[in-house]
Amino acid sequence: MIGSTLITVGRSLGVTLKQIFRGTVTEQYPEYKRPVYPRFRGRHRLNLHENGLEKCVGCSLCAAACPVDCIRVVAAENSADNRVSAGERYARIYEINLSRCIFCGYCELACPFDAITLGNDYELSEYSRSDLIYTKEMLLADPIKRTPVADAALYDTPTPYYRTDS
Amino acid sequence: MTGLFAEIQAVAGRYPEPKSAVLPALRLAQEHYGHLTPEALREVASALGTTPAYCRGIASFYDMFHLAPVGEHMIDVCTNASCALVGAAQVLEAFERELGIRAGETTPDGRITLRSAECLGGCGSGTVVSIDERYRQPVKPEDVPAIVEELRRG
Amino acid sequence: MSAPELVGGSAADRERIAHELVTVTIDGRQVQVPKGTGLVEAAAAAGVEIPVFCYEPRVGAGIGACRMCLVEIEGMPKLQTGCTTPVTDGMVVHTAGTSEQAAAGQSATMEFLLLNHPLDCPVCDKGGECALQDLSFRYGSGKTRMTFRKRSLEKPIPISPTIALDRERCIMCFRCTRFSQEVAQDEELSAVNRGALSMIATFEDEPYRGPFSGNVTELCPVGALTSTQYRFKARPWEYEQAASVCGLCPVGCNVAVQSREGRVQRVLSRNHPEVDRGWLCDKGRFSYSHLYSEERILTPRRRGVRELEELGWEQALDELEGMIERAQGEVVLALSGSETLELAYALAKIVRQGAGSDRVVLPEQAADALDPFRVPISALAEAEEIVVFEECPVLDRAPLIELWLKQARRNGAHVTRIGPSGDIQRGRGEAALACQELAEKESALGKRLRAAERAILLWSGGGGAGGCHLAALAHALGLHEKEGSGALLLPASPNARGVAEAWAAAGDENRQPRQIGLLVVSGDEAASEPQVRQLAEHARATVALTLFAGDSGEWADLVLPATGYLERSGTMRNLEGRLQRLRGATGSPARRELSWLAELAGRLGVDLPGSEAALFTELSAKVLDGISLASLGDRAPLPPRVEAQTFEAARAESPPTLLGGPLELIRYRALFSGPEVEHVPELSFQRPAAEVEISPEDADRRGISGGNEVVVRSNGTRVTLRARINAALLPGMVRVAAEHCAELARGVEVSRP
Repeated sequence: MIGSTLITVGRSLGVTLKQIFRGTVTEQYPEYKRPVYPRFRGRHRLNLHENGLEKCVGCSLCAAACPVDCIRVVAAENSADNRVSAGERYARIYEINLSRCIFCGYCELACPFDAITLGNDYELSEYSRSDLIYTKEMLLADPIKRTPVADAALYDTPTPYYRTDS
Repeated sequence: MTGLFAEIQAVAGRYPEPKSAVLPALRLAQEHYGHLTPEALREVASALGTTPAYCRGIASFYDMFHLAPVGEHMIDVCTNASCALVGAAQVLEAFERELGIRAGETTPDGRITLRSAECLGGCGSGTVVSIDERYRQPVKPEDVPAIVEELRRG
Repeated sequence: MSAPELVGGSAADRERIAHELVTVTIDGRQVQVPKGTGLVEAAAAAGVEIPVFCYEPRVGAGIGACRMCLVEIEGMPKLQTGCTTPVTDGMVVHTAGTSEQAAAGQSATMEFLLLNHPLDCPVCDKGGECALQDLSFRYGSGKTRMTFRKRSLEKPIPISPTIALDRERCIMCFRCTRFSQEVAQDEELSAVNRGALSMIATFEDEPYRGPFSGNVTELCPVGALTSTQYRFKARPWEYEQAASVCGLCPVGCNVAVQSREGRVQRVLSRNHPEVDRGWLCDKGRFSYSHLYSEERILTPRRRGVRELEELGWEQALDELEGMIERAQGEVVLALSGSETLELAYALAKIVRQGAGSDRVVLPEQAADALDPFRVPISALAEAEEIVVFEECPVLDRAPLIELWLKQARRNGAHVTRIGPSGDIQRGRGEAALACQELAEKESALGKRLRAAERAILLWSGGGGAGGCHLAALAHALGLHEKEGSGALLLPASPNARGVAEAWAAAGDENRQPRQIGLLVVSGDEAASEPQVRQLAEHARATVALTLFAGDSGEWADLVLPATGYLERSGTMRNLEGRLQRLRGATGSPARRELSWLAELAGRLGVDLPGSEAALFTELSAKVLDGISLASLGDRAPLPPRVEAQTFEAARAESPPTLLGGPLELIRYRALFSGPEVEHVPELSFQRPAAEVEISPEDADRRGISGGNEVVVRSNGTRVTLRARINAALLPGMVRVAAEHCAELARGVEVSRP
């Protein structure tokens, strides 16, 4: 009786001893950030053309595709002295409620102009819910490069061309 | 009330609907004004009890009506299939060379307008050239200098 | 499946051939349809779809312009267009679904239509509700073989302040030009040039000016003609839609009010085939933006020391309660006729039961004398004889009726207008006399009317008592016994009958105070009435419920914000007597009337429910024979005719003699006038010009020619206007839009300055 108990305890301690000599598995987030999969879907960003005009024309197809209805687009007309996008129309208001977003990427698929793409950033906590409504300015701003991306070559799926940076 | 107005109304009287007289009315107005100016179209419209928009729609459809100024003489060179086969392109080129203008243009002195035309209905002996609405056929490229000379002399 | 609509021909022709049936086989399905039915309709009856762009039976017979409807017909060597082919007995048709040849033709057509059509669906306002988009998705190849640049043109071109034209997107279906030429008959829009250079244009840079121009935006199967007000406001999947009724004129066109984010974004037609046939006038279509005018008042206002000052609702209701108490039963209610039955009933109940007064100013005399001669408006299209007693132009009163009259004339009807500028010229105030003469004296018109199987009489203007005069004539002609015959009165206000009924339902006493302790004015229309204004001068206190403080702000002691007809729910009775439902499209920026009226009623000890549905149930039990709201449905039915009674018609009186000047002034309320139009900048080009219409005889006598500046004066009032010679106008009459009349009396003199 006692013998078998000792054997069991000894075996368990053996496991523990073995682990002591192995390296640590725990990653020290947030000091260390593990690179994400190249096609990981994080926070959205809105893209610009090379000439600085917005790619988004405010067509609302992303909002239509969104299964959780977290995108709001209000369009307006470009004028000669206020040219925002390449077409006749631009998004005067573009908002994504990231507290609702499920990062499915349908908006990206629906977009006819590759204007919206999902980036890699997943650190999206805020103290207030309303801070999670991202406005057009926030989505257009340069990405905050705090999420490292794994080398695409390690995986068999290529990174989409519009995802070369963050 | 101008003479034209009365003339158009007289023509319109021969039709059950005044609007049906739009083609002869436009022709009268063109003879009067040289080409169909907006004022001419307005006058036709008011004489026929319709709108200038309707008259312009009709006028712009037909080659015989001119919405912009044209020369005193009008040369139309048929470039449709039958004439094209017997060298309409060369005839047109010859006219262009001789007049120093492209098809669709008027000479700087405002005397002659050259146009390429769709089938003029004289396919038996091409190339058909309509000069001031009178046909000359067949016209060969070598006939062109004489024709132009004749027109220039008036 | 309703019976397919027949194409073309007069009413009599259609009736004759409707009885003959022919059998056709479409894609192997046999179907029996009346002879003369179009192939597209016959296919629909067989459950086969033939796609179309240009075909629209409402603008006339098919013209085969788009060639999308190509089908193979056995025995014919080439593909035929379905929209121009009437079926014949034994015809065997193969559509693109079963015939390779037809499918190839159709796909080539599709490719050809897309040849120059820009791929800007994400930008285009039509995207999501576009026939071209839908059909190319279903029938297009999905791949393009066109590698060259597409045609690019200047765009968008504003062909009027309300309509933008994008010629790149146009597929030349000619729906818009056919509407302009055949339906509205304004002929402002035409196709210019030929072949590949064809395009839609107005004359020079003139705007497309016409009371029905907006319909082309709805007719356009692509995004070539779009509304400038709606431009980029919403996409078709983003709005909420309310099936409502237009509350601007007594026709009561059925409309779909589409709103997004709490604002009405556009108003579309909702095709009630008996009322509007899917057309709307520009006032009904484009005036919605008055709701968002900065001048609209949203909070109660009280007359302060110098001007109106804002106050809270609690204070405003205290004030109003105090006003009613101080009035001691001497309260007068002035209604506009633009209220819903429910709102008028609530106001009436407060005045009759809460304030203890039974004096009301109704917009006009409303009579039920014409109920035995009730016909749907659509009967006009089938009528043989139509007589219009037109003292006030039909177009300005009930614009859609004018469109029906044009349709009637196209179908071969005789339309006779009797009035100051009619086919039979009669002076102002002589309509009743003309009516009586037609009933009593022998005349060619009278003979035609008696002989006609379907005759309709219309009364436009000339007093609310017209109903009785018209009923007497209709009775003499025996119109109550003839199917498709009848008589209609076009009232000046949208719901004149309804508010009178609501007032009657709210009490049965008749206390008529001699003085006015408090005048309650409901609606902007009433507030702009000179008669109401006079009452306001005599009243010790006035309260007005208006959208804008333009008129009421000058004399009201308390102005309460009203809601617009697009924000209201309830019912209205149109000129036919059809009870139709309004459904509020959005919340109102101003507080709902019924909410504070219920609160006020509570203070006054009146039992008043705060919901439209409950009010309707109460009303229905009292005056509407207990009908339910649900029975009205989305497209309300016409109540049946009532038994004709014999009655004594009032004798027509000759109009009173003129004072002030030798010419009789006809002051008319133009279609494009009123607060709903004045606050919409896009519609300002349609508003009546500062003109006086004068007959050629009177103009000659005064040395006036068209375009001259003239002075119109009477009793010391002088107005400078531009003269317009109207050859149809009866000498001795001049016509001026009410907004340019100022204080002119009935008799005026016109002279050069």
